[in-house]
Amino acid sequence: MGSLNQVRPSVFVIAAQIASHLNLATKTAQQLSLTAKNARAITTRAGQQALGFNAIATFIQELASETIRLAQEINRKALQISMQATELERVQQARFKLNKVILLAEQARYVDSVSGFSKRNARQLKVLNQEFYTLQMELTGLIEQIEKQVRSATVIASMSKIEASKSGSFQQQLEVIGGNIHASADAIKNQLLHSKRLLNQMRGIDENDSHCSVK
Amino acid sequence: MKTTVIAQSNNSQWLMFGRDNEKPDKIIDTNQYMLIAGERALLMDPGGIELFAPMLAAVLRHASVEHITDLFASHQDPDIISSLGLWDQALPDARLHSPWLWEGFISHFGMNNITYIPVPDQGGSINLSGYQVEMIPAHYLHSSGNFHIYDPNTKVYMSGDVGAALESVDAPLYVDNFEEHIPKMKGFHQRWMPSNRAKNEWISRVRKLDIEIFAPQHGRIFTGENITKFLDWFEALEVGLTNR
Repeated sequence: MGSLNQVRPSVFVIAAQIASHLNLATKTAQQLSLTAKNARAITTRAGQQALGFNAIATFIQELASETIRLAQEINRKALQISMQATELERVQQARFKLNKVILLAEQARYVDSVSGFSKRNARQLKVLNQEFYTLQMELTGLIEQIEKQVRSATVIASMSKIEASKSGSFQQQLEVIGGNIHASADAIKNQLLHSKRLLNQMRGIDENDSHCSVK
Repeated sequence: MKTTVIAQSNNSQWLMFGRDNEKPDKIIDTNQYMLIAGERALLMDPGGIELFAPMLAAVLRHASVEHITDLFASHQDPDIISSLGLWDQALPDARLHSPWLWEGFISHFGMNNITYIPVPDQGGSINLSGYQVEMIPAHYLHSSGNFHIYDPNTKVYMSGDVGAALESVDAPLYVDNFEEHIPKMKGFHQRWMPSNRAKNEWISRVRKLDIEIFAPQHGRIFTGENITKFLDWFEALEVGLTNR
Protein backbone atom coordinates (compact mmCIF):
# COMPACT_ATOMS: atom_id res chain seq x y z
CA MET A 1 0.00 0.00 0.00
CA GLY A 2 3.04 2.22 0.43
CA SER A 3 3.33 2.55 -3.33
CA LEU A 4 -0.29 3.65 -3.67
CA ASN A 5 0.44 7.30 -4.27
CA GLN A 6 2.82 6.55 -7.11
CA VAL A 7 0.76 3.71 -8.56
CA ARG A 8 -2.89 4.64 -8.73
CA PRO A 9 -2.51 8.10 -10.28
CA SER A 10 -0.70 6.48 -13.20
CA VAL A 11 -3.93 4.63 -13.91
CA PHE A 12 -5.75 7.96 -14.31
CA VAL A 13 -2.99 9.13 -16.60
CA ILE A 14 -3.00 5.93 -18.65
CA ALA A 15 -6.78 6.01 -19.06
CA ALA A 16 -6.51 9.63 -20.25
CA GLN A 17 -3.70 8.67 -22.64
CA ILE A 18 -5.80 5.85 -24.11
CA ALA A 19 -8.67 8.29 -24.60
CA SER A 20 -6.28 10.70 -26.30
CA HIS A 21 -4.93 8.05 -28.71
CA LEU A 22 -8.46 6.96 -29.52
CA ASN A 23 -9.43 10.55 -30.11
CA LEU A 24 -6.71 10.73 -32.76
CA ALA A 25 -8.01 7.47 -34.22
CA THR A 26 -11.50 9.02 -34.38
CA LYS A 27 -10.12 11.98 -36.31
CA THR A 28 -8.35 9.66 -38.75
CA ALA A 29 -11.57 7.68 -39.16
CA GLN A 30 -13.37 10.93 -39.94
CA GLN A 31 -10.81 11.61 -42.67
CA LEU A 32 -11.35 8.07 -43.92
CA SER A 33 -15.05 8.75 -44.10
CA LEU A 34 -14.39 11.86 -46.20
CA THR A 35 -12.08 9.87 -48.46
CA ALA A 36 -14.84 7.32 -48.94
CA LYS A 37 -17.33 10.07 -49.84
CA ASN A 38 -14.87 11.46 -52.42
CA ALA A 39 -14.42 7.98 -53.81
CA ARG A 40 -18.18 7.61 -54.20
CA ALA A 41 -18.41 10.96 -56.01
CA ILE A 42 -15.68 9.88 -58.43
CA THR A 43 -17.16 6.43 -59.01
CA THR A 44 -20.58 7.98 -59.72
CA ARG A 45 -18.97 10.12 -62.40
CA ALA A 46 -16.98 7.16 -63.69
CA GLY A 47 -20.14 5.03 -63.99
CA GLN A 48 -19.51 1.58 -65.52
CA GLN A 49 -15.75 2.19 -65.59
CA ALA A 50 -15.50 2.07 -61.76
CA LEU A 51 -18.29 -0.23 -60.67
CA GLY A 52 -15.94 -2.37 -58.53
CA PHE A 53 -14.51 0.65 -56.79
CA ASN A 54 -18.01 1.96 -56.04
CA ALA A 55 -18.73 -1.10 -53.87
CA ILE A 56 -15.40 -0.63 -52.09
CA ALA A 57 -16.17 3.06 -51.37
CA THR A 58 -19.55 2.14 -49.87
CA PHE A 59 -17.90 -0.46 -47.68
CA ILE A 60 -15.15 1.94 -46.57
CA GLN A 61 -17.73 4.55 -45.62
CA GLU A 62 -19.59 2.06 -43.45
CA LEU A 63 -16.33 0.90 -41.95
CA ALA A 64 -15.29 4.47 -41.14
CA SER A 65 -18.65 5.14 -39.44
CA GLU A 66 -18.32 1.98 -37.36
CA THR A 67 -14.72 2.87 -36.44
CA ILE A 68 -15.84 6.32 -35.30
CA ARG A 69 -18.64 4.81 -33.22
CA LEU A 70 -16.30 2.30 -31.57
CA ALA A 71 -13.62 4.92 -30.92
CA GLN A 72 -16.21 7.14 -29.24
CA GLU A 73 -17.40 4.24 -27.12
CA ILE A 74 -13.79 3.50 -26.13
CA ASN A 75 -13.34 7.14 -25.19
CA ARG A 76 -16.36 6.91 -22.91
CA LYS A 77 -15.05 3.68 -21.41
CA ALA A 78 -11.58 5.21 -20.83
CA LEU A 79 -13.23 8.11 -19.04
CA GLN A 80 -15.24 5.68 -16.87
CA ILE A 81 -12.00 3.86 -16.02
CA SER A 82 -10.37 7.12 -15.07
CA MET A 83 -13.32 7.99 -12.78
CA GLN A 84 -13.33 4.51 -11.29
CA ALA A 85 -9.60 4.80 -10.59
CA THR A 86 -10.27 8.08 -8.78
CA GLU A 87 -12.94 6.44 -6.61
CA LEU A 88 -10.64 3.50 -5.91
CA GLU A 89 -7.88 5.89 -4.91
CA ARG A 90 -10.27 7.60 -2.47
CA VAL A 91 -11.38 4.33 -0.87
CA GLN A 92 -7.83 2.93 -0.79
CA GLN A 93 -6.59 6.11 0.80
CA ALA A 94 -9.25 5.70 3.48
CA ARG A 95 -8.02 2.11 4.03
CA PHE A 96 -4.45 3.34 4.33
CA LYS A 97 -5.44 6.04 6.84
CA LEU A 98 -7.67 3.61 8.74
CA ASN A 99 -4.75 1.19 9.18
CA LYS A 100 -2.76 4.10 10.58
CA VAL A 101 -5.61 5.05 12.94
CA ILE A 102 -5.78 1.48 14.27
CA LEU A 103 -2.02 1.52 14.85
CA LEU A 104 -2.03 4.92 16.56
CA ALA A 105 -5.15 4.28 18.63
CA GLU A 106 -4.17 0.82 19.82
CA GLN A 107 -4.88 1.64 23.46
CA ALA A 108 -7.78 4.02 22.77
CA ARG A 109 -11.00 3.33 24.63
CA TYR A 110 -13.19 3.55 21.52
CA VAL A 111 -10.87 2.02 18.91
CA ASP A 112 -13.31 -0.83 18.27
CA SER A 113 -15.93 1.64 17.10
CA VAL A 114 -14.11 1.95 13.75
CA SER A 115 -14.97 -1.65 12.85
CA GLY A 116 -18.09 -0.53 10.93
CA PHE A 117 -15.97 1.91 8.93
CA SER A 118 -13.45 -0.86 8.29
CA LYS A 119 -16.08 -3.33 7.04
CA ARG A 120 -17.75 -0.76 4.78
CA ASN A 121 -14.39 0.20 3.38
CA ALA A 122 -13.39 -3.43 2.68
CA ARG A 123 -16.74 -4.06 0.96
CA GLN A 124 -16.39 -0.94 -1.17
CA LEU A 125 -12.84 -1.87 -2.16
CA LYS A 126 -13.97 -5.31 -3.28
CA VAL A 127 -16.85 -3.97 -5.37
CA LEU A 128 -14.76 -1.21 -6.92
CA ASN A 129 -11.94 -3.61 -7.82
CA GLN A 130 -14.44 -5.96 -9.49
CA GLU A 131 -15.99 -3.09 -11.43
CA PHE A 132 -12.55 -1.83 -12.40
CA TYR A 133 -11.63 -5.26 -13.76
CA THR A 134 -14.89 -5.48 -15.75
CA LEU A 135 -14.31 -2.04 -17.27
CA GLN A 136 -10.82 -3.04 -18.34
CA MET A 137 -12.16 -6.20 -19.97
CA GLU A 138 -14.81 -4.18 -21.80
CA LEU A 139 -12.19 -1.74 -22.99
CA THR A 140 -10.01 -4.61 -24.26
CA GLY A 141 -13.02 -6.06 -26.12
CA LEU A 142 -13.76 -2.74 -27.80
CA ILE A 143 -10.16 -2.24 -28.87
CA GLU A 144 -10.15 -5.75 -30.37
CA GLN A 145 -13.34 -4.96 -32.29
CA ILE A 146 -11.86 -1.80 -33.73
CA GLU A 147 -8.70 -3.72 -34.65
CA LYS A 148 -10.79 -6.12 -36.74
CA GLN A 149 -12.32 -3.18 -38.59
CA VAL A 150 -8.91 -1.79 -39.35
CA ARG A 151 -7.63 -5.14 -40.60
CA SER A 152 -10.56 -5.17 -43.07
CA ALA A 153 -9.69 -1.63 -44.16
CA THR A 154 -6.12 -2.74 -44.95
CA VAL A 155 -7.37 -5.63 -47.11
CA ILE A 156 -9.82 -3.33 -48.87
CA ALA A 157 -7.10 -0.77 -49.48
CA SER A 158 -5.12 -3.45 -51.36
CA MET A 159 -8.21 -4.45 -53.35
CA SER A 160 -8.88 -0.83 -54.18
CA LYS A 161 -5.57 -0.63 -56.03
CA ILE A 162 -6.61 -3.52 -58.27
CA GLU A 163 -10.05 -1.97 -58.86
CA ALA A 164 -8.47 1.44 -59.55
CA SER A 165 -6.31 -0.11 -62.27
CA LYS A 166 -9.52 -1.22 -64.04
CA SER A 167 -11.18 2.18 -64.04
CA GLY A 168 -9.70 3.69 -67.20
CA SER A 169 -9.34 7.48 -67.15
CA PHE A 170 -10.25 7.53 -63.41
CA GLN A 171 -7.39 5.21 -62.49
CA GLN A 172 -5.04 7.91 -61.16
CA GLN A 173 -7.67 9.58 -58.92
CA LEU A 174 -8.83 6.27 -57.50
CA GLU A 175 -5.25 5.13 -56.89
CA VAL A 176 -4.74 8.27 -54.78
CA ILE A 177 -7.89 7.40 -52.84
CA GLY A 178 -6.70 3.81 -52.38
CA GLY A 179 -3.43 5.20 -51.01
CA ASN A 180 -5.33 7.45 -48.59
CA ILE A 181 -7.37 4.51 -47.32
CA HIS A 182 -4.15 2.59 -46.73
CA ALA A 183 -2.54 5.53 -44.90
CA SER A 184 -5.61 6.07 -42.71
CA ALA A 185 -5.81 2.38 -41.81
CA ASP A 186 -2.10 2.42 -40.89
CA ALA A 187 -2.53 5.53 -38.74
CA ILE A 188 -5.47 4.02 -36.84
CA LYS A 189 -3.53 0.78 -36.44
CA ASN A 190 -0.66 2.72 -34.84
CA GLN A 191 -2.98 4.50 -32.43
CA LEU A 192 -4.53 1.17 -31.48
CA LEU A 193 -1.12 -0.34 -30.91
CA HIS A 194 -0.27 2.49 -28.50
CA SER A 195 -3.62 2.05 -26.74
CA LYS A 196 -3.06 -1.69 -26.33
CA ARG A 197 0.40 -1.13 -24.88
CA LEU A 198 -1.07 1.37 -22.42
CA LEU A 199 -3.85 -1.03 -21.52
CA ASN A 200 -1.29 -3.76 -20.77
CA GLN A 201 0.63 -1.27 -18.65
CA MET A 202 -2.58 -0.46 -16.76
CA ARG A 203 -3.25 -4.15 -16.14
CA GLY A 204 0.28 -4.55 -14.80
CA ILE A 205 -0.29 -1.70 -12.37
CA ASP A 206 -3.63 -3.10 -11.32
CA GLU A 207 -2.09 -6.52 -10.66
CA ASN A 208 0.66 -4.92 -8.57
CA ASP A 209 -1.94 -2.95 -6.65
CA SER A 210 -4.00 -6.01 -5.87
CA HIS A 211 -0.88 -7.51 -4.26
CA CYS A 212 -0.49 -4.50 -1.97
CA SER A 213 -1.14 -5.37 1.64
CA VAL A 214 -4.54 -4.39 2.96
CA LYS A 215 -4.93 -4.95 6.64
CA MET B 1 -1.08 14.61 18.49
CA LYS B 2 -1.60 16.20 21.88
CA THR B 3 -5.05 16.37 23.43
CA THR B 4 -5.96 18.91 26.10
CA VAL B 5 -9.22 19.40 27.94
CA ILE B 6 -9.74 23.17 27.74
CA ALA B 7 -13.13 23.44 29.44
CA GLN B 8 -15.80 21.33 31.03
CA SER B 9 -19.16 21.55 32.70
CA ASN B 10 -21.28 18.90 34.38
CA ASN B 11 -22.55 17.66 31.01
CA SER B 12 -19.93 18.75 28.49
CA GLN B 13 -16.26 18.74 27.72
CA TRP B 14 -14.17 20.77 25.27
CA LEU B 15 -11.05 19.12 23.89
CA MET B 16 -8.30 20.64 21.83
CA PHE B 17 -6.17 18.51 19.50
CA GLY B 18 -2.93 19.86 18.10
CA ARG B 19 0.77 20.43 18.56
CA ASP B 20 1.37 17.36 16.43
CA ASN B 21 5.08 16.46 16.39
CA GLU B 22 4.48 13.81 13.77
CA LYS B 23 2.94 16.06 11.15
CA PRO B 24 4.82 16.62 7.86
CA ASP B 25 7.12 19.69 8.05
CA LYS B 26 5.44 21.70 5.32
CA ILE B 27 2.02 21.59 6.95
CA ILE B 28 1.18 24.38 9.37
CA ASP B 29 0.15 23.34 12.85
CA THR B 30 -3.58 23.54 13.48
CA ASN B 31 -5.84 23.29 16.51
CA GLN B 32 -8.83 21.02 16.16
CA TYR B 33 -11.63 21.09 18.72
CA MET B 34 -14.23 18.63 19.88
CA LEU B 35 -17.19 19.28 22.14
CA ILE B 36 -18.65 16.24 23.83
CA ALA B 37 -22.13 16.85 25.19
CA GLY B 38 -23.81 13.79 26.66
CA GLU B 39 -23.86 11.06 24.03
CA ARG B 40 -23.03 13.35 21.15
CA ALA B 41 -19.88 14.98 19.91
CA LEU B 42 -19.23 17.93 17.61
CA LEU B 43 -15.91 18.09 15.77
CA MET B 44 -14.89 21.62 14.84
CA ASP B 45 -12.53 22.42 11.95
CA PRO B 46 -11.39 18.78 11.86
CA GLY B 47 -8.33 19.60 9.77
CA GLY B 48 -6.53 18.65 6.60
CA ILE B 49 -6.28 15.28 4.92
CA GLU B 50 -2.76 14.69 6.28
CA LEU B 51 -4.02 15.00 9.85
CA PHE B 52 -6.94 12.61 9.52
CA ALA B 53 -5.27 9.49 10.96
CA PRO B 54 -3.64 11.09 14.05
CA MET B 55 -6.78 13.15 14.59
CA LEU B 56 -9.21 10.20 14.50
CA ALA B 57 -6.81 8.16 16.65
CA ALA B 58 -6.78 10.99 19.22
CA VAL B 59 -10.57 11.38 19.07
CA LEU B 60 -11.11 7.64 19.72
CA ARG B 61 -9.56 8.02 23.15
CA HIS B 62 -12.55 10.18 24.14
CA ALA B 63 -15.46 9.32 21.85
CA SER B 64 -16.58 6.51 19.57
CA VAL B 65 -17.33 7.17 15.91
CA GLU B 66 -21.03 6.71 16.71
CA HIS B 67 -20.82 9.64 19.15
CA ILE B 68 -19.57 12.02 16.48
CA THR B 69 -22.84 13.14 14.99
CA ASP B 70 -21.87 16.65 13.88
CA LEU B 71 -18.97 18.37 12.13
CA PHE B 72 -18.44 22.08 11.79
CA ALA B 73 -16.25 23.82 9.22
CA SER B 74 -15.81 27.53 9.91
CA HIS B 75 -14.90 28.08 6.26
CA GLN B 76 -13.58 26.29 3.20
CA ASP B 77 -9.80 26.25 3.64
CA PRO B 78 -7.92 22.96 3.14
CA ASP B 79 -6.38 23.07 6.62
CA ILE B 80 -9.93 23.27 7.99
CA ILE B 81 -11.80 20.58 6.09
CA SER B 82 -9.83 18.87 3.31
CA SER B 83 -10.13 15.66 5.38
CA LEU B 84 -13.87 15.66 4.65
CA GLY B 85 -13.66 12.83 2.06
CA LEU B 86 -12.27 10.56 4.78
CA TRP B 87 -14.66 11.66 7.54
CA ASP B 88 -17.39 11.05 4.97
CA GLN B 89 -16.42 7.38 4.91
CA ALA B 90 -15.86 7.14 8.65
CA LEU B 91 -19.06 8.94 9.71
CA PRO B 92 -21.62 8.37 6.95
CA ASP B 93 -24.55 9.54 9.08
CA ALA B 94 -22.98 12.76 10.35
CA ARG B 95 -24.03 16.32 9.53
CA LEU B 96 -21.65 19.04 8.44
CA HIS B 97 -22.56 22.59 9.47
CA SER B 98 -20.81 25.13 7.30
CA PRO B 99 -21.52 28.46 5.55
CA TRP B 100 -24.15 28.15 2.82
CA LEU B 101 -21.75 30.05 0.58
CA TRP B 102 -19.28 27.17 0.49
CA GLU B 103 -21.58 24.19 -0.04
CA GLY B 104 -20.71 23.69 -3.70
CA PHE B 105 -17.01 24.20 -2.99
CA ILE B 106 -16.53 22.12 0.15
CA SER B 107 -18.29 19.23 -1.59
CA HIS B 108 -15.22 19.03 -3.85
CA PHE B 109 -13.36 17.46 -0.92
CA GLY B 110 -15.65 14.43 -1.34
CA MET B 111 -19.02 14.18 0.34
CA ASN B 112 -21.19 11.24 -0.66
CA ASN B 113 -22.71 10.40 2.70
CA ILE B 114 -22.49 13.26 5.18
CA THR B 115 -25.40 15.73 5.10
CA TYR B 116 -24.43 19.35 4.49
CA ILE B 117 -26.35 21.78 6.70
CA PRO B 118 -25.92 25.20 5.08
CA VAL B 119 -25.63 27.93 7.71
CA PRO B 120 -27.37 31.17 6.68
CA ASP B 121 -25.40 34.45 6.80
CA GLN B 122 -26.98 35.52 10.09
CA GLY B 123 -25.74 32.31 11.81
CA GLY B 124 -27.69 29.80 13.84
CA SER B 125 -27.25 27.09 16.42
CA ILE B 126 -26.27 23.45 16.66
CA ASN B 127 -28.40 21.37 18.98
CA LEU B 128 -26.69 18.33 20.48
CA SER B 129 -29.69 16.63 22.08
CA GLY B 130 -30.59 19.72 24.08
CA TYR B 131 -27.06 21.11 24.47
CA GLN B 132 -26.93 24.16 22.24
CA VAL B 133 -23.99 26.09 20.78
CA GLU B 134 -24.22 29.21 18.61
CA MET B 135 -22.68 29.82 15.21
CA ILE B 136 -21.55 33.44 15.25
CA PRO B 137 -21.07 35.26 11.91
CA ALA B 138 -17.45 36.20 11.21
CA HIS B 139 -17.66 36.91 7.51
CA TYR B 140 -14.49 38.22 5.86
CA LEU B 141 -12.47 37.06 8.88
CA HIS B 142 -10.89 35.90 6.74
CA SER B 143 -13.21 34.00 4.44
CA SER B 144 -16.19 35.64 2.73
CA GLY B 145 -18.43 33.03 4.37
CA ASN B 146 -17.15 32.37 7.90
CA PHE B 147 -18.56 31.40 11.29
CA HIS B 148 -17.22 30.82 14.79
CA ILE B 149 -18.70 28.69 17.56
CA TYR B 150 -19.78 30.08 20.92
CA ASP B 151 -20.74 27.79 23.76
CA PRO B 152 -22.66 29.83 26.38
CA ASN B 153 -22.45 26.93 28.87
CA THR B 154 -18.67 26.74 29.13
CA LYS B 155 -18.07 30.25 27.70
CA VAL B 156 -15.69 28.91 25.09
CA TYR B 157 -15.44 30.87 21.83
CA MET B 158 -13.87 28.94 18.95
CA SER B 159 -12.53 31.79 16.84
CA GLY B 160 -11.21 30.13 13.66
CA ASP B 161 -8.42 32.21 12.15
CA VAL B 162 -9.09 35.23 14.39
CA GLY B 163 -6.42 35.34 17.07
CA ALA B 164 -4.28 32.89 15.13
CA ALA B 165 -0.52 32.84 15.38
CA LEU B 166 1.78 30.69 13.30
CA GLU B 167 4.08 29.00 15.75
CA SER B 168 6.12 25.84 16.19
CA VAL B 169 4.51 22.66 17.49
CA ASP B 170 6.22 23.04 20.87
CA ALA B 171 4.69 26.50 21.54
CA PRO B 172 2.79 26.81 24.84
CA LEU B 173 -0.93 26.24 24.72
CA TYR B 174 -1.99 29.51 26.35
CA VAL B 175 -1.01 33.15 25.81
CA ASP B 176 0.81 34.23 28.93
CA ASN B 177 2.29 37.59 27.94
CA PHE B 178 0.00 39.36 25.47
CA GLU B 179 2.50 42.05 24.42
CA GLU B 180 5.12 39.44 23.58
CA HIS B 181 2.53 37.50 21.59
CA ILE B 182 1.62 40.46 19.33
CA PRO B 183 4.49 40.03 16.82
CA LYS B 184 3.39 36.43 16.24
CA MET B 185 -0.10 37.57 15.19
CA LYS B 186 0.32 40.98 13.59
CA GLY B 187 1.47 40.10 10.06
CA PHE B 188 -1.01 37.26 9.83
CA HIS B 189 -4.00 39.43 10.74
CA GLN B 190 -2.95 42.35 8.56
CA ARG B 191 -2.51 40.13 5.53
CA TRP B 192 -5.31 37.59 5.95
CA MET B 193 -8.13 39.77 7.26
CA PRO B 194 -9.31 41.81 4.30
CA SER B 195 -11.85 44.23 5.75
CA ASN B 196 -11.63 46.78 8.60
CA ARG B 197 -15.40 47.22 8.51
CA ALA B 198 -16.11 43.49 8.82
CA LYS B 199 -13.52 43.24 11.58
CA ASN B 200 -15.06 46.06 13.62
CA GLU B 201 -18.61 44.73 13.18
CA TRP B 202 -17.44 41.35 14.42
CA ILE B 203 -15.66 42.93 17.43
CA SER B 204 -18.79 44.78 18.53
CA ARG B 205 -20.77 41.53 18.20
CA VAL B 206 -18.26 39.49 20.20
CA ARG B 207 -17.83 42.10 22.97
CA LYS B 208 -21.46 41.39 23.92
CA LEU B 209 -20.66 37.73 24.63
CA ASP B 210 -19.44 36.39 27.93
CA ILE B 211 -16.21 34.65 26.92
CA GLU B 212 -13.70 32.94 29.18
CA ILE B 213 -11.74 30.93 26.64
CA PHE B 214 -10.94 32.31 23.19
CA ALA B 215 -9.66 29.44 21.07
CA PRO B 216 -8.20 30.05 17.59
CA GLN B 217 -7.39 27.47 14.94
CA HIS B 218 -3.64 28.18 15.00
CA GLY B 219 -1.40 29.11 17.90
CA ARG B 220 -2.30 29.81 21.50
CA ILE B 221 -5.55 30.10 23.42
CA PHE B 222 -6.51 33.40 25.10
CA THR B 223 -8.03 33.46 28.55
CA GLY B 224 -9.16 36.07 31.08
CA GLU B 225 -8.02 39.64 30.46
CA ASN B 226 -5.99 38.60 27.39
CA ILE B 227 -9.29 38.21 25.55
CA THR B 228 -10.17 41.89 26.04
CA LYS B 229 -6.58 42.85 25.26
CA PHE B 230 -6.80 40.93 22.03
CA LEU B 231 -10.11 42.54 21.01
CA ASP B 232 -8.71 46.04 21.79
CA TRP B 233 -5.53 45.32 19.86
CA PHE B 234 -7.45 43.89 16.91
CA GLU B 235 -9.83 46.86 16.87
CA ALA B 236 -6.91 49.27 16.57
CA LEU B 237 -5.13 47.18 13.93
CA GLU B 238 -5.49 48.22 10.31
CA VAL B 239 -6.06 45.09 8.23
CA GLY B 240 -6.16 44.29 4.53
CA LEU B 241 -2.50 45.22 4.11
CA THR B 242 0.48 43.57 2.53
CA ASN B 243 3.89 44.19 4.02
CA ARG B 244 5.40 45.33 0.74
